[in-house]
Amino acid sequence: MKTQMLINGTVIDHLPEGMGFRCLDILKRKLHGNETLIVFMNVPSNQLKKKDMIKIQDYYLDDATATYLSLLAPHITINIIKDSQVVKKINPEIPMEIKGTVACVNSRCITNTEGYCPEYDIYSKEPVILKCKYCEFEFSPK
Amino acid sequence: MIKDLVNIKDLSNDEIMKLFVIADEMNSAIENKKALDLCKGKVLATLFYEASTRTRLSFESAMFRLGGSVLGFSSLEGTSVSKGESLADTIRTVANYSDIIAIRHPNEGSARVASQFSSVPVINGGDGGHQHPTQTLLDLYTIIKEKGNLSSLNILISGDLKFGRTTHSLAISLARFGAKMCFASPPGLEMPDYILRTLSDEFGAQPKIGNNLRDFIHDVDVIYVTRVQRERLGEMEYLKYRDAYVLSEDIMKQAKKDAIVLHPLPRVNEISREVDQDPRALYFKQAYNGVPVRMALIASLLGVAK
Repeated sequence: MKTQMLINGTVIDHLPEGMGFRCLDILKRKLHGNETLIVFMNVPSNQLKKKDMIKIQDYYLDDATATYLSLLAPHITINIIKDSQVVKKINPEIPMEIKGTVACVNSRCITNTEGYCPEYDIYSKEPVILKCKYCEFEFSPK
Repeated sequence: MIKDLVNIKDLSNDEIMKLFVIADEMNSAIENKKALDLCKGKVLATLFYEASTRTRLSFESAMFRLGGSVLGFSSLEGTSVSKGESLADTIRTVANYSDIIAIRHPNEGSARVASQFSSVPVINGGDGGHQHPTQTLLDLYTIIKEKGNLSSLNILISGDLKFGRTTHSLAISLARFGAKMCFASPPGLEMPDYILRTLSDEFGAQPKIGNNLRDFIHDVDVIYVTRVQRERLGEMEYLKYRDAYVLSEDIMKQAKKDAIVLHPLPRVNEISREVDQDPRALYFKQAYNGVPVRMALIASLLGVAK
């Protein structure tokens, strides 16, 4: 399937092998439920050798979700397609800090027990390691 | 001076040393039985969501000795917390009744949340297994008073280094002051990776690491022992670790003649009772130092220290 076949929607490319369904889990919270989508697995890639891809019809990924996905897949690229043309390319940059989006994996962290918005410093970009600003716990988002 | 003390990293080395100069003055006032009125008309709120003897009482003693007053709770019974009130709401309310808040809470990061919602200074009296910065201050103060400095010392930190929050703040502070360190803990209770990374990446510290304090004891100037944090372990795990390490009279024979033994207390069985008679055992003196150090901190945060 080629990108051009998608008339309107989003192509999420350069997902590491096996990451397609994990990203889909995250996207499910954003999707309306009636979008047509395809997850490609084990696609040959020069950069990654093998990669996963997702194509979603009639859905346009927002920048915040793109950033979130980049924490799981730092080399991800996103194309927004309208009338069969790429109208926007997103190469999400991992920011120096993030707010919300990911729950702290430390079950004793106050952000989990009382529901305060978690905030993180990016301790490392490759591999991605987040450091909770509240409990200072470090973890890689999965 | 900072508004709150949430993390020991909130204080620079210079600020810590300035606090210790004030603590020396407070200590002199206590020893000379001189009444102070630096905090007359000020109120300290002690919000202790977890059990405490030394931390809470030494905070209260410190405020009383500064001429101020104290209110607060030491158990959740009879408070709105037991009805489900959020930490943020409790803090916003108590900030209306007090000039400064000391808080202990079982969840990590709780003191930072408290500082965000408080209009008055907040002092972290222990947040879960994360930090206990005032304990660290009194630990550093005790070491400096007894040994004269930090940078030339070799310091053994032993026990439950995974959940022992005092050891996390202490290790980072000692690294900042350039002390050498050894960590001895039973397998499974080692210093967390994020602390080791901080020590290495931010301060270039390379502590020696082992599972037995006997491996290090002959060569250290300070022996810092902590208990197994029963409240953060399951009962079976606690039983596994309970007798895993004990500083005994016999082991102390291998220690330097001028070494000192510290413990943040409470002690369970990780230091034998016989060691209490050893002149190198200074943990009760260390607990006393909590009062002048907390006096200095309260006075500084309230802007009344001279």
